[in-house]
Amino acid sequence: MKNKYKNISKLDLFVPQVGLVKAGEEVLTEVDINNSNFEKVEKVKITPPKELITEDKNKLN
Amino acid sequence: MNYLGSKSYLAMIPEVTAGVALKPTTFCPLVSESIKSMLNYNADRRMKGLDWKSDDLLLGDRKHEGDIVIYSDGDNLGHLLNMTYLKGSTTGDSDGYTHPFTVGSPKSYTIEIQKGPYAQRYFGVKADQLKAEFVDQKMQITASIKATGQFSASALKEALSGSVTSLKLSSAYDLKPTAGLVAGDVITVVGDDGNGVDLTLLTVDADGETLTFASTAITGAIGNRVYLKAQTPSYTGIVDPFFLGDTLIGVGADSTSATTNAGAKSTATGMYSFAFTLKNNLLDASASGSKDPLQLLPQTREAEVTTRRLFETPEQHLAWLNSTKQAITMISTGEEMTTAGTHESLSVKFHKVKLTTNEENLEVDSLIFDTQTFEVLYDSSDGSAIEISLVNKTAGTAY
Repeated sequence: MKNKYKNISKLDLFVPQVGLVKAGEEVLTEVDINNSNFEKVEKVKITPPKELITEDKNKLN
Repeated sequence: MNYLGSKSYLAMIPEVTAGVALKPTTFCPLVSESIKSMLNYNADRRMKGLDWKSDDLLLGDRKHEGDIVIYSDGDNLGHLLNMTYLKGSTTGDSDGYTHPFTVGSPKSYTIEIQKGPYAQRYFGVKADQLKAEFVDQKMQITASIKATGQFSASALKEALSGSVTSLKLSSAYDLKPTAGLVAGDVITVVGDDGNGVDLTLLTVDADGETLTFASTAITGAIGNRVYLKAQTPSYTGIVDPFFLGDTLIGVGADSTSATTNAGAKSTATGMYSFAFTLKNNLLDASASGSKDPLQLLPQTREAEVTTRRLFETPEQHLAWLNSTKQAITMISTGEEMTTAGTHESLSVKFHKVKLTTNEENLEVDSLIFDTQTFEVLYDSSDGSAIEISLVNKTAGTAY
């Protein structure tokens, strides 16, 4: 599973198996980055607004 | 699963309070490492009605020591010098910072070395000895370090079930088993299903055994493994080490003339090999309050220089016979840091050296060499034995 990480430091950092990640940039990688200069960018779940959820009219009561 | 040593890292950070661990964030490429913890277990020889030597082991004085070998690039060398000698005020800016080092109390470090999935963390680290030598052109530094404690792996003291926000570590190794951990560390707890659960520590309790973290579902029995998860290293532009070819070594009657001689290739002495060893002779005795060395304190400092140069006149032979004072200055120029032409550099001044051995061995078909060992002495007239100056692109605040 790929995760997105952001380089929160002010330096361009080279991460083995990932490559160069410039300061402030995000990278999508399968490598689990456990480094205090990187912050995991959590995936935001997008749920459709309520009014767009159409009711199933064929549903049997 | 097997793990390749080449994938490991060395991470370092200077401590604010000696012996109190911090999370190491400066990563340095390793050449090799052989640090070990010596628990000094002895067989329990109390008479227990057995016809066998012993039925258990008992702990002795614990020590943590060994060698770190790196190539000496300006930035990482700074950290090893900082754990050996006292850094003075840094001058300069991002075009080149100059860090002076003199004989004095070194900074204490927390270092971490990856071993596969876990990291071995040592804290209260100081260099007992620092050796610089040129191996196939490259300056290689061997730092023989000692530490006042370690954290690597532990076990659950109490079972975990369901969503939990804290755990306790077993006191089998130490009564305060969390020593070395800090908030922000990631630890892995092996659950009953054999899978590791990563936890980011929120706090390390003052009771020395409790760790807290955000609510997480774990099922784990007493004794399950808990280890410090290895970090993913990140490097900020690894520079080349200092090379013998870019090093000028000046020898003179005193430090001023040695430094002048080191200023140009025409006046410098061509050394076929050059190495120096700085020793701190750290006190690492055990004392009340800690099963590990309570503190590491430098005792008498000493240093040695070994060289190999072509024999030309009996000058060095006489200097050895008569115990004549000499001085040596080594200036290594490293990579260019800015387009303005500022280079990394290392200058080491040995103010007063005298030959303890000067061998001129003969071998068929070979030119005669002076193979020399110098004792580095304190120069009362200069009020100094050694002075080191390092120019690199790391700000003084990093040390």
